[in-house]
Amino acid sequence: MTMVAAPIELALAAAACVAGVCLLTVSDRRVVLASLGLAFVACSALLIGRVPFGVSLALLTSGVAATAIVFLSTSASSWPWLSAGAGGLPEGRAFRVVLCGFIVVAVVGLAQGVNLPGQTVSPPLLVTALGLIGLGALQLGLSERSLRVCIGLLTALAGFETLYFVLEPALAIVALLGSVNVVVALIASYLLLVVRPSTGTDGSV
Amino acid sequence: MSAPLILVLATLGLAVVSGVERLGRIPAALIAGLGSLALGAISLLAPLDVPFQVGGLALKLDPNLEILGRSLELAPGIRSGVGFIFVIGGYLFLGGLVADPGRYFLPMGILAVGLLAASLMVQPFLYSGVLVMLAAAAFVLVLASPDRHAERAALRLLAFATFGMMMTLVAAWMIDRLGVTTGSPERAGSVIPVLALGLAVLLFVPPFHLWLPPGADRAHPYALTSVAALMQASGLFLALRVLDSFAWVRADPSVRLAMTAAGVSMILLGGIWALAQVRLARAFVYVLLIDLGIGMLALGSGTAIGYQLAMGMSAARVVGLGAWGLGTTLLAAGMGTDELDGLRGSGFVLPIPAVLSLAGLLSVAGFPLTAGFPGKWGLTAHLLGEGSAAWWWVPAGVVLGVVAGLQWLSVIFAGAAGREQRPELTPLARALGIGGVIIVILLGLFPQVAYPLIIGVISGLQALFA
Repeated sequence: MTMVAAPIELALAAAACVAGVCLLTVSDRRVVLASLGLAFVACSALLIGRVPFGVSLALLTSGVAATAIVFLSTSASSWPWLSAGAGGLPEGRAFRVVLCGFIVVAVVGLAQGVNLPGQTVSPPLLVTALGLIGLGALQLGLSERSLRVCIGLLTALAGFETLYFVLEPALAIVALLGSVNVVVALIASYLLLVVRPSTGTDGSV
Repeated sequence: MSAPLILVLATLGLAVVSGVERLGRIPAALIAGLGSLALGAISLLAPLDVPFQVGGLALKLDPNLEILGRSLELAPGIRSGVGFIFVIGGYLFLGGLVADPGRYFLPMGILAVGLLAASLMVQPFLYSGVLVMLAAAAFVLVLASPDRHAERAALRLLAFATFGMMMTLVAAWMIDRLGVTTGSPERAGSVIPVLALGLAVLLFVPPFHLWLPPGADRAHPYALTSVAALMQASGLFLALRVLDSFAWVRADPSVRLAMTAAGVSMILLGGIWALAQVRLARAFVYVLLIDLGIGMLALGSGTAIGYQLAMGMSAARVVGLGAWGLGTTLLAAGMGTDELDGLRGSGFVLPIPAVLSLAGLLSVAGFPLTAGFPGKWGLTAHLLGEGSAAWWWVPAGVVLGVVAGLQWLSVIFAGAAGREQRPELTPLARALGIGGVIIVILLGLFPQVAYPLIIGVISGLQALFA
């Protein structure tokens, strides 16, 4: 198996992290969904050569399918991304950019100290995986709006799957985790199209 | 013929049939409830790997099903756990005859029950985290029905389950790669925190209980209790399987200490908050947290009797949850609210739902002569006998929960009724209400009838009793 060259690997890792940051800081629908798709594309490209090609393809397929489901759902309903936060919590772009910066710095530091038993994982892949998990978790922590929670979960799952498929590329797990991506996207779709965002005071949209 | 394949196909069939809208609520609930009970009976009683005849047709049920290199296995040690999950599902779906928790309650509920049962059968069993996460995804549709904006609770549950899935998968990989044994405490020490975090999600250890309070505010009470009942039962069984499978987890005293500490924190947190609530549903979820905390103390005892009591209390919890969910659904529907002021005197307006709701609440709290009491009494005596310093947290938890329950009793049966007209209950609702109260009291009066059966559910986990 031929792994992607180091400069390309770095570029892919940077692309995935930038996409993760965009998911938190940008509000335009097309940019957000393109970033989600880009994160999955970069993650699956990073896996080429490290795992059987089918595993990388499975991540790409499930990620793109999940992005497409969210895209179609938001086309058919609204884009409830910019609603005001509850209780005057800071939600501005500057606040998010600062938090993203902290996450990226923390992940780069953390990746240097991670020692996976019996497994060599390249630093760019590790930074990508941990970065996306961190940025996804941040999305979950900052908002309880349905769409944002689902996109935060998909971001974290993209990072987790990138790392886990290197550790355990078993076909059953790849299939199950791929289905998890699609299921999360379908839940976003259900909440947007069937339940519809509420305008309640508890911050749930 | 593969037994797990039969269970999978039958579950899917039941989910599809019970989701047909034209069928009507009562036939759908009957199909879902009785179907789930039948699958429970198959899981518990079907002869496996032995030829037998049905109507002249020779059959042999294979306990395995291979899927993509992994297998679902109805092994002797876990088949009673699988049956237990289906039986709980059947019991709760039959409540759907009266409660109407939304269009997706039955189809998605059955799908989730099937996934939880599969999570017990999957080999290697730590991959069950993925199936539990998919069950939580199905529960999103149960909790966040279109007429109730309970997305917040549903998505919190989903996020926690996703986190738990990641932790259990990482733990599974670490166990496989590190080759942990009782002779390698330093390696066990690096796996146990990851594994514990994964299980904590399923056992609602704080802060992973945080989906319950918003669920109490917005979700249908019966949907909320059904989800809680099924998740806690599968979480407990998974925790017991971990203890059964890994001697190094059982042998580690810090695991028992952590379980006891988690139990004490749940009792304290639940006790303080249960007394301060002005909504019945919120008070109930905190009493439930106390009960779960007491269950953690039983697990933390690290003894076979402690594990049996944890299992017995889990079953009693399901009975209490079902009773409370059904009673509160009828009560809140009749009174138009479940808030303190709205429920004042409601016991005189709707006596059967009021008594059922209070019986469920007091049973979960552990009030004497209810289903929840014998287990807690037994645990107190057991911990005292073992010389455990944590024994007094059990009666303390019971007192806190019972005081919260009695507070609501005094509200519901206080003063005059707020309404002139009594909302009418259907004969079926009345029968199920009275039946629910009788079950709660009978199980409290005659625990020796049901407890041995429940405890038998984990008898297949032989290492726990070695």
